[in-house]
Amino acid sequence: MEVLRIPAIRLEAGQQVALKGESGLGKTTLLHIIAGILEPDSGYVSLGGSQLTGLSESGRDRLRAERLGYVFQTFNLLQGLSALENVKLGLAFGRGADTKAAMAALDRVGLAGRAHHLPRQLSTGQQQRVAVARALANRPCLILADEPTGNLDSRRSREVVKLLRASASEVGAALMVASHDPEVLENFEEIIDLAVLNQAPLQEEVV
Amino acid sequence: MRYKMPIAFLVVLALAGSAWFLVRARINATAVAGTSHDIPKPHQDQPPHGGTPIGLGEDQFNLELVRDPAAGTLKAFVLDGEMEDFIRISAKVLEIDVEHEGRKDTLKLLPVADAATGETVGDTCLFLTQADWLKRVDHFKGVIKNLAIQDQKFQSIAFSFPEGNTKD
Amino acid sequence: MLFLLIRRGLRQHLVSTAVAVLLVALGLGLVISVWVVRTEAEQSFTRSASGFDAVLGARGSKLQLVLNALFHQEVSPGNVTAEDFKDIKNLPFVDRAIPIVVGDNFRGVRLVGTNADFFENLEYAPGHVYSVEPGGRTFKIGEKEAVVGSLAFHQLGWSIGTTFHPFHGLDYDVNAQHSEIFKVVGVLAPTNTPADRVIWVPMEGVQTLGGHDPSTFTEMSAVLIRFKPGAKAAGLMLDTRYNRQGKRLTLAWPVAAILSDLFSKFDWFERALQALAYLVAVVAGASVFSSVYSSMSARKRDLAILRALGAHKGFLIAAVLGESASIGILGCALGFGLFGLIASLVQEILRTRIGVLFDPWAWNPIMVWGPVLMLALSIAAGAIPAWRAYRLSVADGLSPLS
Repeated sequence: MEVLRIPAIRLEAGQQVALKGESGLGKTTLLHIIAGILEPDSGYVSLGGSQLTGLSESGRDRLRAERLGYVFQTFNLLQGLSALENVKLGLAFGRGADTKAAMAALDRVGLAGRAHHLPRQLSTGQQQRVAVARALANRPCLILADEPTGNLDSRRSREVVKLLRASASEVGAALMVASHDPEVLENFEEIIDLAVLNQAPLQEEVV
Repeated sequence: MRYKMPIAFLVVLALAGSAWFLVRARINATAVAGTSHDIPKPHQDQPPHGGTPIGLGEDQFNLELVRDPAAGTLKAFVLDGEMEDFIRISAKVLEIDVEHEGRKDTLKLLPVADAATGETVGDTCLFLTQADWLKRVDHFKGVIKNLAIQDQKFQSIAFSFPEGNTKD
Repeated sequence: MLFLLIRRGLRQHLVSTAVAVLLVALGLGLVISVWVVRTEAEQSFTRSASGFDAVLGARGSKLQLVLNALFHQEVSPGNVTAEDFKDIKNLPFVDRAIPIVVGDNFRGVRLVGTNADFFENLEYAPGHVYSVEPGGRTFKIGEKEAVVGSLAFHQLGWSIGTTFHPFHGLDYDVNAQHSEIFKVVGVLAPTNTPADRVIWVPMEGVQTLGGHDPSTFTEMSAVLIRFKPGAKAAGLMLDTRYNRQGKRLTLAWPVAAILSDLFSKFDWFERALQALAYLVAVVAGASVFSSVYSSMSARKRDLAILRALGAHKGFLIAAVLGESASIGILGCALGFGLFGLIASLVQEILRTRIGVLFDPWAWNPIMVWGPVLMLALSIAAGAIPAWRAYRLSVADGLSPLS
């Protein structure tokens, strides 16, 4: 069953786009393919000059750890680890867990003072900022965010999007934010409409 | 690749199991000083003093002859058919006609009392005689004249020493 | 990062982790205890008796003779005459023959009569002879004097010069007091054998106590025998004479094999205990499996996040097996503690009741193999959860919870 058929997407360093699409259209699937979590049946993905497709699973894992930052949907922190330890996870599988770099990332999102708090001791907004810090810690060339404002109110949603854009800018990374929320989309000049981009045949049921 | 984990699981289990049996075997082989196998058990059909066995009748009983060249003595022990148990008899004398160095002679073995074993003359399994020629002669022929053991009587049992009279 | 994840993972499911650790500890503790107590107890008994090769006594059970004469347990099967004693003592291949007379006690502590030869360079272990502690002396033959075993001395709270009335019989009966008075003149230097548990007196002192049958004044309960070095056939020869040819006396030889036979009578009990220990070990393995499995099932999303952040599959497997191994390691450490407790108890019982030195920490291969195999079992118990972690679909694991 063909879910996605994308002719081409190209992002330059520093470019920031929103990926628009309703639930079930395949936004997450596309992000997983770009991140190397899933392999496409045909075509290729190249990240920072390195071919992702065709690599072994561990090769893709390594490339993802070194070049990519990922902000997941809700409940994306490990509950048993502190804020600092969660951010270190973003570094651990690439160049290695570096406490200084992790603290610097936490500081960039204004949570250096909560470094040793567990996720349950942080508000939802603070947890999301820790997730952003984790995505930034390894100074990636591309940041992917999948519905990053899903659980947040309008004000906090705006703050998170602003933080994402500013952080991506600061490290010179490209940014792709997948969302169906108009309040998120209005923050981006460039919007990719997945419904238009996807040339796979329409399915009768949305799985 | 697909089956790497179940195989690894089974390998670990198999290794653990094999190691366990190996450990058991090794530890069981570690000798504790003495085992119950060291408790002496009578060997069937072996004379208890390493002497010459002489079968009586259809091997219902045996005599064991033991020569001591230093003292010039000849002992005769009365034993059961399997040479496991010592049989006490009331005989007053055990006579053996012998032939040695071309001469004929008669040995008279007398009953021996032993306080340590509780044997008395008239209730003993041990008969003893002494002769100087026994110090130097280690081969001779003999005939046990007669011997009563329990309700059996035996007569003219021929043998050679130290071979005995077994029909092996 | 790996160790941090393992630690936090164990802590997040503290109750099931603790239960698994305790069961592993119980399994290992039991396995080692059953193994060591059996092998070391037998060796301890054998070591305690190793000063002598054989015991001569009245007709009866060889085991009873050994237990009575060497371990000061049980009753004597009868008496041995002075002639019997002289007879065996004079045999050319007998090195030492020590008479033993029993039949009296002081508040349950056995009085054992012997002669002066007991203190004449008599070895109870290679290089160790029976001797009296400084400040005391050996008893004089014919006098009512006592040299007390070190354990008995402290148990009774005596000092040099203490006097006492012995009591008739091997069990304490307050109405059976003898009128004679004995005096403590010395303490036996500790031997870590049953000799430490009794009161040593001149044998005439026991034989001639009031109320004892005068006809038995020259008889003894047993004779402890040591053969001259190299006289291997001696035992067999005497065994034939006393046990097969004779009907009056019994020669208990070889002592080590008789003791081994005693322990082998408990094989069925030992096997039952071993089976129980193994069962507990298997249950422990199942508990480790359950703990790690439920832990991993609850943290499926965490594992998916780790993969999405770039963790290799091998990392996840290491984390899972690391958790199960950690439970195994903690359990094994506790298990040794449990074994130590059990062993101390057994050690104290054997020391005070029988006077045998039981050394549970003497080298035994089970102390290495036990924990190794328990650890292997724990790791194996983590294999299926590790397999599931390996097969985890990252995309499915990251799906929103609602």
